[in-house]
Amino acid sequence: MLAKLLKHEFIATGRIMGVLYSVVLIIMGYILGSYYIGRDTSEAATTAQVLGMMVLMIISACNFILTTVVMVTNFQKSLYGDQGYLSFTLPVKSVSLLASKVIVSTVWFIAAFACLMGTMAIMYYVIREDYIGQESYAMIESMLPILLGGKSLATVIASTVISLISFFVRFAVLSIEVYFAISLANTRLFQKRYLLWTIVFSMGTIYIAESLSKLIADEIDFGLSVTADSIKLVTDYLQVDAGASFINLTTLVVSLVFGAAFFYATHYVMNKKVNIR
Amino acid sequence: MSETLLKVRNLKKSYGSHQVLNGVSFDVPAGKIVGLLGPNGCGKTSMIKSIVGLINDYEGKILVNGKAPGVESKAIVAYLPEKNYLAPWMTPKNAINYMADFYKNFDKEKALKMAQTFDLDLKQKIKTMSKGQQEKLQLILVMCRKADLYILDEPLGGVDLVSREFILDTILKNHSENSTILLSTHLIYDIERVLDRVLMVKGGELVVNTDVEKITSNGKSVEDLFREVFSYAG
Repeated sequence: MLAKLLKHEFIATGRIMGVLYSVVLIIMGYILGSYYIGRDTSEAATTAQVLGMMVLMIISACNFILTTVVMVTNFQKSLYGDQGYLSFTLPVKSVSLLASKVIVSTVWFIAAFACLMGTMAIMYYVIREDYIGQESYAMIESMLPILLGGKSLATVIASTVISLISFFVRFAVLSIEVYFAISLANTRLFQKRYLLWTIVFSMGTIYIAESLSKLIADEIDFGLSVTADSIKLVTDYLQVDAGASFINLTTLVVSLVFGAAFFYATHYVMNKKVNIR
Repeated sequence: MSETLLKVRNLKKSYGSHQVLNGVSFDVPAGKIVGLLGPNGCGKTSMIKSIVGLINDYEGKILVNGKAPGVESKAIVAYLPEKNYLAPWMTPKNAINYMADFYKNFDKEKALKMAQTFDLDLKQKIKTMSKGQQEKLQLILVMCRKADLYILDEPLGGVDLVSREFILDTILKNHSENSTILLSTHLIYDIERVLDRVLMVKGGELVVNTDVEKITSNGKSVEDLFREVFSYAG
Protein backbone atom coordinates (compact mmCIF):
# COMPACT_ATOMS: atom_id res chain seq x y z
CA MET A 1 0.00 0.00 0.00
CA LEU A 2 2.94 2.37 0.59
CA ALA A 3 3.69 2.22 -3.13
CA LYS A 4 0.12 3.28 -3.93
CA LEU A 5 0.25 6.05 -1.37
CA LEU A 6 3.52 7.25 -2.89
CA LYS A 7 2.02 7.16 -6.37
CA HIS A 8 -0.93 9.32 -5.37
CA GLU A 9 1.24 11.58 -3.26
CA PHE A 10 3.46 12.23 -6.27
CA ILE A 11 0.38 12.86 -8.42
CA ALA A 12 -0.99 15.35 -5.88
CA THR A 13 2.25 17.26 -5.40
CA GLY A 14 3.50 16.74 -8.94
CA ARG A 15 0.82 19.04 -10.32
CA ILE A 16 2.93 21.97 -9.17
CA MET A 17 6.38 20.52 -8.70
CA GLY A 18 6.19 18.45 -11.88
CA VAL A 19 5.33 21.50 -13.98
CA LEU A 20 8.12 23.46 -12.33
CA TYR A 21 10.76 20.82 -12.99
CA SER A 22 9.53 20.30 -16.53
CA VAL A 23 10.16 24.01 -17.10
CA VAL A 24 13.59 23.66 -15.48
CA LEU A 25 14.52 20.68 -17.66
CA ILE A 26 13.31 22.40 -20.84
CA ILE A 27 15.35 25.52 -20.06
CA MET A 28 18.42 23.51 -19.10
CA GLY A 29 18.02 21.43 -22.25
CA TYR A 30 17.70 24.55 -24.39
CA ILE A 31 20.72 26.28 -22.86
CA LEU A 32 22.95 23.23 -23.11
CA GLY A 33 21.65 22.31 -26.55
CA SER A 34 21.99 25.75 -28.09
CA TYR A 35 25.34 26.45 -26.44
CA TYR A 36 27.16 23.17 -26.78
CA ILE A 37 25.50 21.34 -29.64
CA GLY A 38 24.14 24.11 -31.86
CA ARG A 39 26.90 26.58 -30.97
CA ASP A 40 24.30 29.20 -31.75
CA THR A 41 25.94 32.55 -31.06
CA SER A 42 23.32 34.78 -32.66
CA GLU A 43 22.07 37.70 -30.62
CA ALA A 44 18.62 36.14 -30.28
CA ALA A 45 20.07 32.85 -29.04
CA THR A 46 22.37 34.59 -26.58
CA THR A 47 19.47 36.66 -25.24
CA ALA A 48 17.36 33.51 -24.86
CA GLN A 49 20.24 31.77 -23.07
CA VAL A 50 20.70 34.67 -20.66
CA LEU A 51 16.95 34.88 -20.03
CA GLY A 52 16.82 31.12 -19.51
CA MET A 53 19.70 31.37 -17.09
CA MET A 54 17.91 34.12 -15.17
CA VAL A 55 14.73 32.03 -14.95
CA LEU A 56 16.79 29.07 -13.71
CA MET A 57 18.44 31.25 -11.08
CA ILE A 58 15.06 32.59 -9.90
CA ILE A 59 13.55 29.10 -9.78
CA SER A 60 16.58 27.74 -7.92
CA ALA A 61 16.44 30.58 -5.43
CA CYS A 62 12.70 30.17 -4.76
CA ASN A 63 12.58 26.41 -5.09
CA PHE A 64 13.15 25.49 -1.46
CA ILE A 65 10.50 27.94 -0.28
CA LEU A 66 8.03 26.74 -2.91
CA THR A 67 8.73 23.09 -2.04
CA THR A 68 8.19 23.83 1.66
CA VAL A 69 4.91 25.64 0.95
CA VAL A 70 3.61 22.85 -1.30
CA MET A 71 4.55 20.11 1.17
CA VAL A 72 3.14 21.91 4.22
CA THR A 73 -0.12 22.79 2.43
CA ASN A 74 -0.50 19.28 1.08
CA PHE A 75 0.11 17.73 4.50
CA GLN A 76 -2.37 20.05 6.23
CA LYS A 77 -5.11 19.67 3.63
CA SER A 78 -4.80 15.98 2.88
CA LEU A 79 -4.63 14.86 6.51
CA TYR A 80 -6.18 17.47 8.75
CA GLY A 81 -8.53 19.20 6.34
CA ASP A 82 -11.66 17.77 4.70
CA GLN A 83 -9.53 15.41 2.59
CA GLY A 84 -8.47 13.76 5.85
CA TYR A 85 -11.91 12.10 5.86
CA LEU A 86 -10.71 10.11 2.88
CA SER A 87 -7.04 9.69 3.86
CA PHE A 88 -7.74 8.35 7.33
CA THR A 89 -10.44 5.93 6.17
CA LEU A 90 -8.22 4.27 3.58
CA PRO A 91 -7.30 0.70 4.47
CA VAL A 92 -3.68 1.64 5.11
CA LYS A 93 -1.65 1.94 8.27
CA SER A 94 -1.33 5.51 9.47
CA VAL A 95 2.41 5.00 9.69
CA SER A 96 2.39 4.42 5.90
CA LEU A 97 0.41 7.62 5.41
CA LEU A 98 3.05 9.57 7.30
CA ALA A 99 5.95 7.73 5.65
CA SER A 100 4.61 8.51 2.17
CA LYS A 101 4.46 12.23 3.02
CA VAL A 102 8.01 12.23 4.38
CA ILE A 103 9.44 10.27 1.44
CA VAL A 104 7.76 12.46 -1.17
CA SER A 105 8.77 15.72 0.48
CA THR A 106 12.35 14.47 0.79
CA VAL A 107 12.39 13.58 -2.91
CA TRP A 108 11.14 17.05 -3.85
CA PHE A 109 13.75 18.68 -1.60
CA ILE A 110 16.44 16.57 -3.25
CA ALA A 111 15.05 17.69 -6.62
CA ALA A 112 15.27 21.32 -5.47
CA PHE A 113 18.87 20.68 -4.43
CA ALA A 114 19.65 18.99 -7.76
CA CYS A 115 18.04 21.93 -9.57
CA LEU A 116 20.27 24.35 -7.66
CA MET A 117 23.37 22.26 -8.38
CA GLY A 118 22.40 21.92 -12.04
CA THR A 119 21.86 25.65 -12.38
CA MET A 120 25.21 26.37 -10.73
CA ALA A 121 26.94 23.83 -12.97
CA ILE A 122 25.42 25.36 -16.10
CA MET A 123 26.29 28.84 -14.95
CA TYR A 124 29.83 27.76 -14.23
CA TYR A 125 30.43 26.05 -17.55
CA VAL A 126 28.44 28.33 -19.82
CA ILE A 127 29.23 31.66 -18.26
CA ARG A 128 32.82 30.98 -17.28
CA GLU A 129 34.30 31.93 -20.62
CA ASP A 130 31.85 34.53 -21.80
CA TYR A 131 31.28 36.45 -18.63
CA ILE A 132 33.88 35.55 -16.03
CA GLY A 133 36.68 35.34 -18.50
CA GLN A 134 39.37 32.79 -19.03
CA GLU A 135 41.67 34.26 -16.39
CA SER A 136 39.11 34.09 -13.61
CA TYR A 137 38.22 30.57 -14.67
CA ALA A 138 41.88 29.53 -14.53
CA MET A 139 42.17 31.12 -11.11
CA ILE A 140 39.18 29.13 -9.80
CA GLU A 141 40.66 25.94 -11.26
CA SER A 142 44.01 26.63 -9.60
CA MET A 143 42.32 27.25 -6.27
CA LEU A 144 40.57 23.87 -6.22
CA PRO A 145 43.53 21.85 -4.85
CA ILE A 146 43.91 24.43 -2.07
CA LEU A 147 40.20 24.16 -1.30
CA LEU A 148 40.53 20.38 -1.15
CA GLY A 149 43.40 20.86 1.30
CA GLY A 150 45.63 18.22 -0.23
CA LYS A 151 43.17 15.48 0.71
CA SER A 152 43.32 12.12 -1.02
CA LEU A 153 40.74 11.19 -3.66
CA ALA A 154 39.26 8.60 -1.25
CA THR A 155 38.74 11.32 1.34
CA VAL A 156 37.15 13.64 -1.18
CA ILE A 157 34.79 10.90 -2.43
CA ALA A 158 33.92 9.68 1.08
CA SER A 159 33.36 13.24 2.29
CA THR A 160 31.16 14.04 -0.69
CA VAL A 161 29.07 10.88 -0.28
CA ILE A 162 28.69 11.38 3.48
CA SER A 163 27.85 15.07 2.98
CA LEU A 164 25.21 14.26 0.40
CA ILE A 165 23.68 11.53 2.59
CA SER A 166 23.74 13.89 5.59
CA PHE A 167 22.16 16.59 3.48
CA PHE A 168 19.36 14.33 2.26
CA VAL A 169 18.77 12.92 5.75
CA ARG A 170 18.56 16.52 6.96
CA PHE A 171 15.84 17.23 4.37
CA ALA A 172 13.86 14.23 5.59
CA VAL A 173 14.30 15.18 9.24
CA LEU A 174 13.31 18.78 8.55
CA SER A 175 10.15 17.53 6.84
CA ILE A 176 9.32 15.34 9.84
CA GLU A 177 9.97 18.22 12.24
CA VAL A 178 7.59 20.47 10.29
CA TYR A 179 4.98 17.67 10.05
CA PHE A 180 5.28 17.21 13.80
CA ALA A 181 4.66 20.93 14.27
CA ILE A 182 1.62 20.87 11.95
CA SER A 183 0.21 17.86 13.79
CA LEU A 184 0.69 19.52 17.16
CA ALA A 185 -0.96 22.70 15.83
CA ASN A 186 -4.00 20.63 14.84
CA THR A 187 -4.64 19.25 18.31
CA ARG A 188 -7.76 20.54 20.02
CA LEU A 189 -5.98 23.18 22.10
CA PHE A 190 -4.36 24.92 19.13
CA GLN A 191 -6.67 23.95 16.27
CA LYS A 192 -8.50 27.27 16.05
CA ARG A 193 -5.32 29.11 15.07
CA TYR A 194 -3.46 26.20 13.55
CA LEU A 195 -1.59 28.36 11.03
CA LEU A 196 -0.07 30.56 13.69
CA TRP A 197 0.78 27.57 15.88
CA THR A 198 2.25 25.68 12.93
CA ILE A 199 4.73 28.54 12.43
CA VAL A 200 5.48 28.81 16.16
CA PHE A 201 5.90 25.06 16.64
CA SER A 202 7.96 24.67 13.46
CA MET A 203 10.40 27.35 14.53
CA GLY A 204 10.53 25.99 18.08
CA THR A 205 10.98 22.38 17.00
CA ILE A 206 13.70 23.16 14.47
CA TYR A 207 15.52 25.48 16.90
CA ILE A 208 15.48 22.94 19.74
CA ALA A 209 16.50 20.07 17.46
CA GLU A 210 19.33 22.08 15.90
CA SER A 211 20.64 23.29 19.26
CA LEU A 212 20.57 19.82 20.77
CA SER A 213 22.16 18.36 17.66
CA LYS A 214 24.99 20.90 17.80
CA LEU A 215 25.49 20.30 21.51
CA ILE A 216 25.74 16.54 21.03
CA ALA A 217 27.99 16.89 17.95
CA ASP A 218 30.37 19.11 19.94
CA GLU A 219 30.57 16.60 22.78
CA ILE A 220 30.88 13.33 20.87
CA ASP A 221 33.59 12.43 18.35
CA PHE A 222 32.24 9.79 16.05
CA GLY A 223 33.24 9.41 12.46
CA LEU A 224 35.56 8.05 9.82
CA SER A 225 39.31 8.19 9.66
CA VAL A 226 40.10 8.27 5.95
CA THR A 227 43.47 7.79 4.26
CA ALA A 228 44.29 7.07 0.61
CA ASP A 229 43.92 3.33 1.20
CA SER A 230 41.81 2.87 4.33
CA ILE A 231 38.58 3.98 5.91
CA LYS A 232 38.20 3.31 9.66
CA LEU A 233 35.37 4.02 12.06
CA VAL A 234 36.56 5.95 15.12
CA THR A 235 34.80 6.99 18.32
CA ASP A 236 37.44 9.40 19.50
CA TYR A 237 39.32 12.07 17.59
CA LEU A 238 42.57 10.72 19.08
CA GLN A 239 42.04 7.45 17.18
CA VAL A 240 42.36 9.22 13.84
CA ASP A 241 45.47 7.95 12.03
CA ALA A 242 48.37 10.31 11.39
CA GLY A 243 47.90 11.99 8.05
CA ALA A 244 44.28 10.81 7.78
CA SER A 245 41.25 13.02 7.42
CA PHE A 246 38.38 12.88 9.90
CA ILE A 247 34.82 12.84 8.60
CA ASN A 248 32.36 13.57 11.38
CA LEU A 249 29.33 11.29 11.47
CA THR A 250 27.85 12.50 14.75
CA THR A 251 25.51 15.00 13.07
CA LEU A 252 24.25 12.33 10.68
CA VAL A 253 23.58 9.85 13.48
CA VAL A 254 21.94 12.53 15.65
CA SER A 255 19.76 13.53 12.68
CA LEU A 256 18.68 9.92 12.19
CA VAL A 257 17.85 9.54 15.89
CA PHE A 258 15.92 12.85 15.92
CA GLY A 259 14.14 11.87 12.71
CA ALA A 260 13.00 8.57 14.23
CA ALA A 261 11.90 10.30 17.44
CA PHE A 262 9.92 13.00 15.63
CA PHE A 263 8.40 10.43 13.27
CA TYR A 264 7.17 8.42 16.24
CA ALA A 265 5.91 11.55 18.01
CA THR A 266 4.11 12.79 14.88
CA HIS A 267 2.50 9.40 14.39
CA TYR A 268 1.34 9.39 18.01
CA VAL A 269 -0.11 12.92 17.85
CA MET A 270 -1.72 12.19 14.46
CA ASN A 271 -3.38 9.03 15.78
CA LYS A 272 -4.25 9.89 19.32
CA LYS A 273 -4.53 13.63 19.67
CA VAL A 274 -5.87 15.09 16.43
CA ASN A 275 -9.57 15.25 15.71
CA ILE A 276 -10.11 16.20 12.10
CA ARG A 277 -12.19 19.32 11.78
CA MET B 1 -18.87 -13.06 8.87
CA SER B 2 -20.29 -12.76 12.40
CA GLU B 3 -24.03 -12.20 12.74
CA THR B 4 -23.43 -8.98 14.58
CA LEU B 5 -21.50 -6.85 12.17
CA LEU B 6 -21.00 -3.86 14.40
CA LYS B 7 -20.64 -4.00 18.15
CA VAL B 8 -20.32 -0.83 20.23
CA ARG B 9 -19.81 -1.04 23.99
CA ASN B 10 -19.84 1.79 26.50
CA LEU B 11 -18.60 4.33 23.96
CA LYS B 12 -17.59 7.63 25.51
CA LYS B 13 -16.13 10.63 23.82
CA SER B 14 -15.55 14.14 25.06
CA TYR B 15 -14.09 17.30 23.59
CA GLY B 16 -12.43 18.91 26.58
CA SER B 17 -15.10 19.17 29.27
CA HIS B 18 -17.92 18.66 26.77
CA GLN B 19 -19.11 15.05 26.84
CA VAL B 20 -20.65 14.17 23.45
CA LEU B 21 -21.05 10.41 23.91
CA ASN B 22 -21.82 9.03 27.30
CA GLY B 23 -21.52 5.25 27.41
CA VAL B 24 -23.33 4.21 24.24
CA SER B 25 -23.76 0.47 23.61
CA PHE B 26 -25.50 -1.26 20.74
CA ASP B 27 -25.19 -4.05 18.16
CA VAL B 28 -25.92 -3.78 14.47
CA PRO B 29 -26.86 -7.11 12.90
CA ALA B 30 -25.59 -8.01 9.45
CA GLY B 31 -27.83 -7.40 6.45
CA LYS B 32 -30.01 -4.69 8.01
CA ILE B 33 -30.65 -1.05 7.24
CA VAL B 34 -30.28 0.85 10.47
CA GLY B 35 -31.19 4.48 11.01
CA LEU B 36 -29.03 6.46 13.39
CA LEU B 37 -31.40 9.21 14.34
CA GLY B 38 -31.12 12.30 16.43
CA PRO B 39 -31.10 16.07 16.18
CA ASN B 40 -28.00 17.98 15.16
CA GLY B 41 -25.26 17.93 17.79
CA CYS B 42 -26.51 14.82 19.59
CA GLY B 43 -23.29 12.87 18.95
CA LYS B 44 -24.14 10.93 15.78
CA THR B 45 -21.16 12.14 13.79
CA SER B 46 -18.72 11.57 16.68
CA MET B 47 -20.06 8.03 16.96
CA ILE B 48 -19.63 7.44 13.24
CA LYS B 49 -16.16 9.01 13.21
CA SER B 50 -15.14 6.64 16.01
CA ILE B 51 -16.48 3.62 14.11
CA VAL B 52 -14.72 4.50 10.85
CA GLY B 53 -11.41 5.23 12.58
CA LEU B 54 -11.34 9.00 12.30
CA ILE B 55 -11.49 9.43 16.08
CA ASN B 56 -9.19 7.25 18.13
CA ASP B 57 -9.21 8.88 21.55
CA TYR B 58 -12.53 7.46 22.69
CA GLU B 59 -13.30 5.23 25.64
CA GLY B 60 -15.11 1.94 25.24
CA LYS B 61 -15.02 -0.75 22.62
CA ILE B 62 -15.92 -0.82 18.94
CA LEU B 63 -15.78 -3.99 16.88
CA VAL B 64 -16.51 -4.12 13.15
CA ASN B 65 -16.91 -7.73 12.14
CA GLY B 66 -14.96 -8.64 15.26
CA LYS B 67 -12.10 -6.22 14.64
CA ALA B 68 -11.29 -2.89 16.26
CA PRO B 69 -11.26 0.05 13.82
CA GLY B 70 -8.12 -0.31 11.74
CA VAL B 71 -6.85 -1.40 8.36
CA GLU B 72 -9.04 -4.52 8.23
CA SER B 73 -12.25 -2.78 9.26
CA LYS B 74 -11.60 0.10 6.87
CA ALA B 75 -11.37 -2.37 4.00
CA ILE B 76 -14.95 -3.53 4.60
CA VAL B 77 -16.55 -0.23 5.62
CA ALA B 78 -17.68 2.26 2.98
CA TYR B 79 -18.06 5.67 4.55
CA LEU B 80 -19.84 8.70 3.16
CA PRO B 81 -19.12 11.77 5.27
CA GLU B 82 -21.12 14.97 5.29
CA LYS B 83 -18.17 16.83 3.77
CA ASN B 84 -16.62 16.80 0.35
CA TYR B 85 -13.47 14.79 0.99
CA LEU B 86 -12.01 14.92 -2.50
CA ALA B 87 -9.17 17.22 -3.50
CA PRO B 88 -10.48 20.14 -5.58
CA TRP B 89 -7.96 19.54 -8.38
CA MET B 90 -9.21 15.99 -8.90
CA THR B 91 -11.58 14.96 -11.66
CA PRO B 92 -14.19 12.20 -11.30
CA LYS B 93 -11.83 9.97 -13.29
CA ASN B 94 -8.98 10.69 -10.86
CA ALA B 95 -11.25 9.98 -7.91
CA ILE B 96 -12.48 6.69 -9.39
CA ASN B 97 -8.90 5.57 -10.11
CA TYR B 98 -7.90 6.56 -6.60
CA MET B 99 -10.62 4.43 -5.02
CA ALA B 100 -9.87 1.52 -7.37
CA ASP B 101 -6.24 1.64 -6.27
CA PHE B 102 -6.96 1.41 -2.58
CA TYR B 103 -10.10 -0.70 -2.30
CA LYS B 104 -10.09 -4.23 -3.63
CA ASN B 105 -13.89 -4.25 -3.39
CA PHE B 106 -14.33 -1.16 -5.57
CA ASP B 107 -16.08 -1.80 -8.87
CA LYS B 108 -14.43 0.62 -11.29
CA GLU B 109 -16.55 -0.30 -14.29
CA LYS B 110 -19.73 0.24 -12.33
CA ALA B 111 -18.45 3.61 -11.10
CA LEU B 112 -17.66 4.77 -14.63
CA LYS B 113 -21.10 3.68 -15.81
CA MET B 114 -22.83 5.37 -12.90
CA ALA B 115 -20.89 8.58 -13.53
CA GLN B 116 -22.17 8.52 -17.09
CA THR B 117 -25.73 7.80 -15.92
CA PHE B 118 -25.53 10.66 -13.43
CA ASP B 119 -24.33 12.93 -16.22
CA LEU B 120 -20.95 13.65 -14.65
CA ASP B 121 -18.12 14.82 -16.89
CA LEU B 122 -15.19 12.55 -16.07
CA LYS B 123 -12.70 15.28 -16.93
CA GLN B 124 -14.30 18.13 -15.04
CA LYS B 125 -12.36 19.36 -12.02
CA ILE B 126 -14.19 18.84 -8.73
CA LYS B 127 -13.70 22.49 -7.75
CA THR B 128 -15.77 23.52 -10.78
CA MET B 129 -18.58 21.06 -10.05
CA SER B 130 -21.77 22.07 -8.27
CA LYS B 131 -22.41 20.84 -4.73
CA GLY B 132 -25.01 18.42 -6.08
CA GLN B 133 -22.55 16.98 -8.61
CA GLN B 134 -19.91 16.59 -5.91
CA GLU B 135 -22.40 14.75 -3.70
CA LYS B 136 -23.37 12.47 -6.56
CA LEU B 137 -19.72 11.65 -7.20
CA GLN B 138 -19.05 10.81 -3.56
CA LEU B 139 -22.16 8.66 -3.51
CA ILE B 140 -20.88 6.76 -6.56
CA LEU B 141 -17.49 6.25 -4.91
CA VAL B 142 -19.11 4.80 -1.80
CA MET B 143 -21.86 2.74 -3.42
CA CYS B 144 -19.54 1.16 -6.00
CA ARG B 145 -17.75 -0.65 -3.23
CA LYS B 146 -18.90 -4.15 -2.37
CA ALA B 147 -18.67 -3.32 1.30
CA ASP B 148 -20.01 -5.20 4.30
CA LEU B 149 -20.98 -2.04 6.10
CA TYR B 150 -22.02 1.26 4.54
CA ILE B 151 -21.92 4.18 6.93
CA LEU B 152 -23.67 7.20 5.50
CA ASP B 153 -23.54 10.39 7.52
CA GLU B 154 -26.43 12.71 6.70
CA PRO B 155 -26.56 11.77 3.01
CA LEU B 156 -29.90 13.56 2.66
CA GLY B 157 -28.99 16.75 4.49
CA GLY B 158 -29.10 20.02 2.60
CA VAL B 159 -30.69 18.69 -0.59
CA ASP B 160 -34.17 19.12 -2.05
CA LEU B 161 -36.91 16.49 -1.97
CA VAL B 162 -36.24 15.18 -5.48
CA SER B 163 -32.55 14.81 -4.78
CA ARG B 164 -33.31 13.04 -1.51
CA GLU B 165 -35.37 10.45 -3.35
CA PHE B 166 -32.65 10.10 -5.94
CA ILE B 167 -29.96 9.59 -3.28
CA LEU B 168 -32.02 7.09 -1.33
CA ASP B 169 -32.86 5.23 -4.49
CA THR B 170 -29.18 5.06 -5.45
CA ILE B 171 -28.26 3.72 -2.02
CA LEU B 172 -30.94 1.04 -2.06
CA LYS B 173 -30.23 -0.10 -5.61
CA ASN B 174 -26.48 -0.21 -5.30
CA HIS B 175 -25.51 -1.51 -1.88
CA SER B 176 -24.10 -5.00 -2.06
CA GLU B 177 -26.23 -7.97 -1.17
CA ASN B 178 -26.39 -8.91 2.54
CA SER B 179 -24.57 -5.73 3.44
CA THR B 180 -25.51 -3.51 6.36
CA ILE B 181 -26.30 0.17 6.10
CA LEU B 182 -25.97 2.56 9.01
CA LEU B 183 -27.64 5.75 7.92
CA SER B 184 -27.43 8.84 10.04
CA THR B 185 -30.03 11.53 9.55
CA HIS B 186 -32.44 13.88 11.20
CA LEU B 187 -34.85 13.70 8.22
CA ILE B 188 -36.85 10.70 9.35
CA TYR B 189 -39.84 10.97 7.04
CA ASP B 190 -37.74 10.32 3.92
CA ILE B 191 -36.06 7.18 5.16
CA GLU B 192 -38.65 5.61 7.40
CA ARG B 193 -39.93 3.22 4.74
CA VAL B 194 -36.52 1.62 4.17
CA LEU B 195 -35.34 1.13 7.74
CA ASP B 196 -35.24 -2.21 9.55
CA ARG B 197 -34.04 -0.85 12.83
CA VAL B 198 -33.58 2.53 14.52
CA LEU B 199 -31.13 3.90 17.01
CA MET B 200 -31.99 7.26 18.55
CA VAL B 201 -29.33 9.31 20.24
CA LYS B 202 -30.15 12.09 22.67
CA GLY B 203 -27.57 14.13 24.54
CA GLY B 204 -24.86 11.58 23.88
CA GLU B 205 -26.92 8.64 25.11
CA LEU B 206 -28.73 5.92 23.21
CA VAL B 207 -32.40 6.28 24.12
CA VAL B 208 -34.03 4.01 21.52
CA ASN B 209 -32.67 0.82 20.01
CA THR B 210 -35.44 -1.19 18.41
CA ASP B 211 -36.83 -2.77 15.24
CA VAL B 212 -39.06 -0.63 13.06
CA GLU B 213 -41.53 -3.51 13.02
CA LYS B 214 -41.98 -3.19 16.78
CA ILE B 215 -42.68 0.54 16.48
CA THR B 216 -45.21 0.13 13.69
CA SER B 217 -46.92 -2.80 15.44
CA ASN B 218 -47.90 -0.29 18.15
CA GLY B 219 -49.59 1.83 15.51
CA LYS B 220 -46.84 4.44 15.47
CA SER B 221 -44.42 5.60 12.84
CA VAL B 222 -40.73 6.14 13.41
CA GLU B 223 -41.36 9.85 13.03
CA ASP B 224 -44.01 9.73 15.76
CA LEU B 225 -41.57 8.02 18.10
CA PHE B 226 -38.87 10.52 17.17
CA ARG B 227 -41.18 13.42 18.00
CA GLU B 228 -42.11 11.73 21.26
CA VAL B 229 -38.51 11.09 22.27
CA PHE B 230 -37.28 14.52 21.34
CA SER B 231 -40.49 16.26 22.45
CA TYR B 232 -41.14 17.86 19.11
CA ALA B 233 -44.43 19.66 18.92
CA GLY B 234 -44.82 18.68 15.28
